[in-house]
Amino acid sequence: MSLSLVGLALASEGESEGFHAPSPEEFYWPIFGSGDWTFTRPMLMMALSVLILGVLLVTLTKKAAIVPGKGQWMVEQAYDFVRNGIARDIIGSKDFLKYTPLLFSLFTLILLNNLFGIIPPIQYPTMSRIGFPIALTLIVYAVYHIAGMRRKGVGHYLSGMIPKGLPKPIYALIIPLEYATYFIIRPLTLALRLFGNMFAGHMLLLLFIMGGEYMLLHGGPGLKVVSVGSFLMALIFTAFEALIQFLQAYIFTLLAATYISDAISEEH
Amino acid sequence: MSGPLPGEKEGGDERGPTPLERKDAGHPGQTTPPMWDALSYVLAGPLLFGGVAYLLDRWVGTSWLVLPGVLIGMAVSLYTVWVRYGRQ
Repeated sequence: MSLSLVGLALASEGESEGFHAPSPEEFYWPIFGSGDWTFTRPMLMMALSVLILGVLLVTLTKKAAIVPGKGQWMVEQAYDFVRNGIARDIIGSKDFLKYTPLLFSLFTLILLNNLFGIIPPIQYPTMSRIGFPIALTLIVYAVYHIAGMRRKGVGHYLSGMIPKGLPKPIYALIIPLEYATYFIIRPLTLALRLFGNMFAGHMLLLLFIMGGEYMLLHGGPGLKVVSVGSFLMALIFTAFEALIQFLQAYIFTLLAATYISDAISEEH
Repeated sequence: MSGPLPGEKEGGDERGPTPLERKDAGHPGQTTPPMWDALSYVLAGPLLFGGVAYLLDRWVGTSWLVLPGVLIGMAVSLYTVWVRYGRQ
């Protein structure tokens, strides 16, 4: 008790002058409103991303030509990547076209919102607020379960989740595990993976940039020199983040496709 | 991949497949999730069985069930991962 009081006193003392390490509070950016109905910065960015994507995709493909221009070519590359590289390869020739629009929307939306994390002046990944990955995961969750139930019927769909041909006693343990995985853990990891990567990445960049700024502006001569290293790290990690941001958009889409494929495939 | 060549005639079909349809054919799809989705299984076992053991502990009034629960969960997880990904 007394120790924690000392800690509190130290912390409040440090607040006036010392360096503030970035904390989860850095992620809360209210714009207007209050309480549960606050309109925040990531909400604005999500709306912005939808607007940007909509305008971009419509204008670049409006005058679709057989010999594509630069813009059309880029859109086609992105679409081909999702359509052939993810949807067709994972879901298979028979059913993939039906799910391609969903997967393409997911991929482009997540990618742009992730890239916001390193695009000045936005520099904030929307998906570092847990609500956004949860919303996207709920869509995927509903789609693959409903698709599976409609394809196979509820009973067959549920029994299809259990691997066949194992020794009888093991089923007592396997059955609850499989259902927990399908209904709870999979969506949980899907949402948390995206959220965690974006949150940690943004935190890391904040730390290096804020640390560098503090050392440069408030530190002694020695610290001023060291701050160069901090900014250099920020630069390196920005490039690294670009890779992670693309990868997470890809992984989310790929997993969504595998879950759909798994739900509608006949044999196991 | 090896669809009919452009000159070949499709027997019985009123209309042969378009070049795009031909390109899209023959992809069987993939039913096994990618390797690293095994993470879901690895987490599911300890969480599920550890959680059940914790509830049992509170219900019965014991305090030693969580550790065996988590260990059993890990074992079942590893077994399931082997069944799903290793048994071909």
